[in-house]
Amino acid sequence: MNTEFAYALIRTAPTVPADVINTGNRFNIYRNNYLTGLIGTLSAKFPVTCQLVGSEYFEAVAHSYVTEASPSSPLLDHYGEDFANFLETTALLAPPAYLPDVARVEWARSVAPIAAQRPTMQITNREDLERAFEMQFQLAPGGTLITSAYPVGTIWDHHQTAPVKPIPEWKAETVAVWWSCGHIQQKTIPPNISPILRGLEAGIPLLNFLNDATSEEQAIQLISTFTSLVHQGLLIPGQENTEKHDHEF
Amino acid sequence: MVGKLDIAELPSLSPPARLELTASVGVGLKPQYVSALMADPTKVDFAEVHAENYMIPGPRSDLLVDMSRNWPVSIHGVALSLGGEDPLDRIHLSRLKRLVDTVNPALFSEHVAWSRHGDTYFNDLLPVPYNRQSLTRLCDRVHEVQQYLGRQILLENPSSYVRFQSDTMHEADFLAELVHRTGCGVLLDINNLFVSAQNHGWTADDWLSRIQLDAVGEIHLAGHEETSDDSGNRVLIDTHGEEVSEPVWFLYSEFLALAGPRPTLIERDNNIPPLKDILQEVELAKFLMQTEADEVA
Repeated sequence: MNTEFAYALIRTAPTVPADVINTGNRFNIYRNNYLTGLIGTLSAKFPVTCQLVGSEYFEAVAHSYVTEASPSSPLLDHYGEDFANFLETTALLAPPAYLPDVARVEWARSVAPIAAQRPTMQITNREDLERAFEMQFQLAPGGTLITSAYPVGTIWDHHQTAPVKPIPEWKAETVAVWWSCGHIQQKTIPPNISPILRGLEAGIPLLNFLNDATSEEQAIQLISTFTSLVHQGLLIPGQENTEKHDHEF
Repeated sequence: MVGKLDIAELPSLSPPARLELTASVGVGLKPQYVSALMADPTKVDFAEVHAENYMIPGPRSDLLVDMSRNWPVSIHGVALSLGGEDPLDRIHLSRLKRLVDTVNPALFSEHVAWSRHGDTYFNDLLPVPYNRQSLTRLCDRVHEVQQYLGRQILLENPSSYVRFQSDTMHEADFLAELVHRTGCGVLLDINNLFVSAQNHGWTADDWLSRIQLDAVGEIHLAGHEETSDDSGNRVLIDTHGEEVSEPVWFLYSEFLALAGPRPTLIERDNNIPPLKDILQEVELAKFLMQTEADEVA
């Protein structure tokens, strides 16, 4: 029975299982509940994305996504992981080019609170700092870096108030999202730090980047930014045998 | 056997002592309410969470453990798919055991429903035919889950919109037999009872007369919407997005008169209102519970 019922729920062409007494076409209530429930899940995870295209368009594209991508896990925290990629490829509407990256920021915010946390490091003296120079670091569990050709961090930030604030400068941005101190943290990373952060994320010690600094001032700025990101919990000491998917069992 | 799963054998560190629920009224824990409730835990007697929202270790599950140390918590599962035809999802069951062992909730409940088929999870509580075959399958699965979790579970009566040609039993008889065979308890969702009774032409009084009222370990109260089906007939939809309706409050009072007080949850999952609105419903439930207790005294 379940097979026929299940297919009837997710098929676009309406069918009704033979065993169902379909008085007044009430089977459609289940079909609607399934679709609207998942569209609601996506709306909750991607509120600014929804705001940018309007709820009508968002629901249309979310409907299309749900039809193509049923959840495979009962943990809906994982649902919508590839929604940003879907926005890039869907022929249903031509969304603004920056929309997928805004969705990536929102997905990062969605997963940041559900990763097992690890201790952060405090750099309190010169010895700590010198030790940190040669250590490998990684992003905090659940942390994400989004590098975009668009000001996605600013767009997201400016949609947190009403009326929406204008964007003063249209430029590329790298945005870091992570969990720390009981809250989701989001920070736009300066352009000169972005590649270094990518390098640190890949396991390259800070010392390598310091050796490339062309001036003392540049080196001091780099150390200051690095120390700040460590204290804010975005960068944590690397761990051997780190699980690839911290947010999964 | 389920017990062979290694991941579930991991010891839980210092689980909180189980805080029991008596004649109490709680709310579903929504992110919007956490700060206010934590600031003044006396606002409600207990909180209920959906198990699947707290299964991944991290800040969210840590918060739940902290809460459960000084506040009774009820865990409500929505994805075990106990009424399904697929084998039980052992990985999901092991996640559930770890959560239950960690939080040590006052109550754990699930549904007489299914939500998974093959690799697809439906994010809904789908109806089960009421016949001997489905009853036997459900009983086997409830036995297995209770053994694995090492505790009694409560099963919630569903809201439903269709019935099946293959039904051979009344819903209440199906549930009563389930309780009799497995020793599970009942989470009586009064709104679901009202919705299903309306949609299928049952009477709630008859339904209540068929089940073991002593087995009811928790009550849910929620809202529904009224619409029409394609034949123009009235149909009620269980939305959890409205305030508890007047007839559901009446039915709740009737239950209290029949069976006495039970832990009662004001359930709201959509169209979340300010906490003060939910607290008004909490106060009404407490008032009705107290009124019934006074009449008995």
